[in-house]
Amino acid sequence: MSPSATALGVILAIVALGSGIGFYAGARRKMDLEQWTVAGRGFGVLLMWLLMAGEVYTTFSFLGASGWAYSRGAPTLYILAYITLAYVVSFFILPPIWELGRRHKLQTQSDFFAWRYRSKYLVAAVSLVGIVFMIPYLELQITGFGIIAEVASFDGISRNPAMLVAVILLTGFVLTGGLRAVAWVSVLKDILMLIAAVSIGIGIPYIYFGGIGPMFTALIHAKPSHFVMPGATGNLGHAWYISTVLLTGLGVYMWPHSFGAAFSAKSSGTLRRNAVVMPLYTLSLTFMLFVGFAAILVIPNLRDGDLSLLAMVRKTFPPWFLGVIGGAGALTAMVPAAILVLSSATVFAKNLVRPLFAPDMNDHQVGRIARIMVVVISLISLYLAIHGSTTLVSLLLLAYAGITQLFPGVVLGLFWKRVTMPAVFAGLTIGVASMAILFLTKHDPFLGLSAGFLGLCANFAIAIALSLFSSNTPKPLGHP
Amino acid sequence: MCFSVSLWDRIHPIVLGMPFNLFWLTLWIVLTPLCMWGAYLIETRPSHEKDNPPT
Repeated sequence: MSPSATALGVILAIVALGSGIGFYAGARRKMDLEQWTVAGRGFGVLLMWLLMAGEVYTTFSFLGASGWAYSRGAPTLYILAYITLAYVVSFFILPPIWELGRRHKLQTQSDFFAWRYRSKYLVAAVSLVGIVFMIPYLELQITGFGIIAEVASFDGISRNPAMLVAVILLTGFVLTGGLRAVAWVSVLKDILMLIAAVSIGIGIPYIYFGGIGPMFTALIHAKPSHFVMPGATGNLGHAWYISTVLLTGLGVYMWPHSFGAAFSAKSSGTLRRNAVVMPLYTLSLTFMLFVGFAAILVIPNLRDGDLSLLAMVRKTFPPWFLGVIGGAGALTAMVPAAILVLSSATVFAKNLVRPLFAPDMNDHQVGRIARIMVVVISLISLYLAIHGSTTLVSLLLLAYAGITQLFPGVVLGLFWKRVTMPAVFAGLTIGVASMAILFLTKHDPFLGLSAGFLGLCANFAIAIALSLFSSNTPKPLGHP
Repeated sequence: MCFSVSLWDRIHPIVLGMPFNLFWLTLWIVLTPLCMWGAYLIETRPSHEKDNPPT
């Protein structure tokens, strides 16, 4: 068997196994809207942990982190910091959100906004921001899948057909299984990813340099400036690092799917315990970075840094092992992509279409529109992935610059009685508009700070100022 | 804490074979769960039944 056939065969077997688990987990239960979207609100610590790890550790951490380690150097370290920070944030905001969800039967982030601010237009705006900025995130996952197929087939399969296959698999998977399917496939995905991270993260430095220490000694000798910020970039210095860590760390749980995942937990204690143990998982990213750094000396002049991890594996290990790593990578693309599609489609049907255009729709019809949207959103992302040409990390940063604009509305809504709907609406609009202008005019980073962070500051300032100046009587809050 | 970046964003001293900035962030990945565990104990101490209030 040729090396590419072996590698692809192993990848296919892993993806098939993952899909099988998903279909099995989904098929055993009757799927109403609540079961499909929040899995009946019955996830304990274990399933919650799997679901959240399934969401946060995407093909971005698999290929993107090492890709930036290879092409940008030290700025990639922001990834270690922001994921850790995100769990600290989740410890404080998810339990009250869960509590509200249980009391008021909330299923999505938009439900939360609807309950807190009582404006269907704000909800529509929030849903729209969620869906729009989820698309680059989804594009990232699909691109990741394309890269895996490209490298594993020894460039025999080009990226675009591979991405098409990924999208077909993905929609089939989401339409039949719902959230429970996704959580169970995460089991396989996480086990494989941990094995992959540790084995290649330690193995590759030993094979080429005789250890992690000698590897860094050689690297620092060869390229000292790569290992402090701004690394290989001219403009990603300390101010960028701080603003980006804050922006993305606050943003992780603003994703409609991460936010919504809180509603699937069995109790608020589950969420707190989760926040305590989850940061440890981030250690696997340190290993991914090792591989990206090793590639600097072993395979210089790659045309695309995002290829570095898989190209290193292909160069170092036998094809079947490339298949295992590729399969792990394929699942880390598919699981989060499934969650993203599932939640953005649900938000579209339930929080955008129903309140604005067809208030008397029943749950069954909402479910049908959501399923149609699964297909539509996947196709849009596929289109963008085929025509896009940016690094995986850049896609993620764009997505975060947008989604974190929801943070003021959530955190002020939870903890500050005086905040008003028009103030949050104005802040959100200005925040998104200013980051969009900076991105479109290619001013990111602006004055050394991440554009999304500047938008977030404007957003907060406006939401707080307008709330203070409005004469509305504060509405009593319904949570402890 | 986060404004201390310029203090730790450096290569030397090399700890455990890693440049100092990489080591520093990895160290905090390990320390964060410990701090969070402390926070968890404080948060849940006053009333254990707070997690599952009677409905």
